Amino acid sequence: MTEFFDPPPERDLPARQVTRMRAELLSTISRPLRRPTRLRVAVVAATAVVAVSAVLLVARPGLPGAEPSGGFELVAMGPSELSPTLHRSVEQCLDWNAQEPLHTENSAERGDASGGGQPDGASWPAVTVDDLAVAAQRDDTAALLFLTEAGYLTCDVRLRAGREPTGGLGGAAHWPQRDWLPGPVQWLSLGSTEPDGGDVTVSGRISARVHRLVLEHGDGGSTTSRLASGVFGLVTKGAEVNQNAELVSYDADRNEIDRRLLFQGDRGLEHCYVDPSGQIVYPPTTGEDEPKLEPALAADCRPAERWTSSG
Amino acid sequence: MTTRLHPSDQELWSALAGGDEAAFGQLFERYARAVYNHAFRLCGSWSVAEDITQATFLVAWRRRGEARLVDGSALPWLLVVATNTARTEWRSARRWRALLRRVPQEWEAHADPADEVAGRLDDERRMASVLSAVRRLPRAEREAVALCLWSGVPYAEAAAVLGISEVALRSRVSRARARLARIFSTDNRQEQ
Repeated sequence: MTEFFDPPPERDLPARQVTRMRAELLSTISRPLRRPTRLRVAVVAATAVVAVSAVLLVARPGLPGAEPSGGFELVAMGPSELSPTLHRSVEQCLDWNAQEPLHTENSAERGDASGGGQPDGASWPAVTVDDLAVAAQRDDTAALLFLTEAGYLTCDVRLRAGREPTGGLGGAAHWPQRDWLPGPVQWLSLGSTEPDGGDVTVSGRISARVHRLVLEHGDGGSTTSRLASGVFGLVTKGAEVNQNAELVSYDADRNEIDRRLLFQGDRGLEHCYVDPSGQIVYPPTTGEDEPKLEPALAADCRPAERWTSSG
Repeated sequence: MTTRLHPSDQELWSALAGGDEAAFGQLFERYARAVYNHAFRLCGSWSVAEDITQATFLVAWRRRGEARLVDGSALPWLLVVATNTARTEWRSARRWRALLRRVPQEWEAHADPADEVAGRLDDERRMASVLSAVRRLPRAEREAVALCLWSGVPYAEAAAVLGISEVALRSRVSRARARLARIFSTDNRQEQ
């Protein structure tokens, strides 16, 4: 039946694209498990933050800005802590972002398939290096988080000698939930070397009552996150983080105040969260692959926690 | 040993669950076109549809142990995955590309014929017009239209994958049709 809202006729995928896509997919899934010399970013999500302090060289202490010759990891909490390689990563991300045709809040202009449901997720903000909140690096791959007054930008970038940089951007130019967290902690950028596991790179936001944040790997190991100005960042090295990994938040008295699965995160909120007026700030979702069709009831929600860059 | 030239989806998925990459390749060849066109109808861009298609199959690989085949077909589940990818992750489809091991640029050395390019631009304009109306529907109805009317997934199969009753799904489609008729009618009056 022909209807007034019929789409155009179907088209074939161009043959060369089929070949390319198939080759890339097979090459990607064929990656051997856990080969330390070849880092794979498996998942990278959204962003936030504001900055501060010093470079953390995980497992290999050194001077800020120094880069060991072999594989290494570091977390820089702001532009003042950037290593030379992270500087190049930041420049690459800024360059990509500048090439984006629009920095608009109109999702329709960008063909946002989420339509009217996500007016916040329309596009990415224009950012500068001063907006950098967290930069996390493992070997030749970096995950960056920029935070502006209204939105955020995430960028993952892989720089290899003699090869074209690869990576991607994410974020929102307008972010209605900027002032609120779904509980004490919210990751915004998550990278892993294996699907839901391996070594991970995580950054995000914390509320003022979080004084310590630990990633429990799920195999008995753990990694303590760096915290600064309402933001956290962590990188694991040689870890066996698994699907049961949890982010555990502690208050100033070392009491555990929150525990949540890392690989559920804010993309798969089990609960909804409301602000003090009872308005739902974060509706529940079931993750990136599962539909959530039923509306949330505010009465069943948990309190959202206010976020400020002062932590 | 005998080799089946046309294994069923169930056989492919069983092999996939065991980590069989060849089965994954076969599944991709079987359904890439359907997923690609479904993705285009959701996002209105052929290039974004490519990203969503790749992201969908990557998710399929990651979640191969969790897929629900309906009446032996993997397509409804793949289309629902594509729908969710397009809905919440279209930007991250770009990020998914970051994790794909890039093949040499020679693959892209050949240019599209001009008429093909022009045709695709026309498609995008037409789809943008359709989506401007469809996006005014509630999300559940919008996705029901894409799944059942545009991609032709039978109601029973789509309902099973979505985890709702067939009656509820038919109701969504019916309401969507009625709403769209009103939207188009109103828009046409305003244009006149």
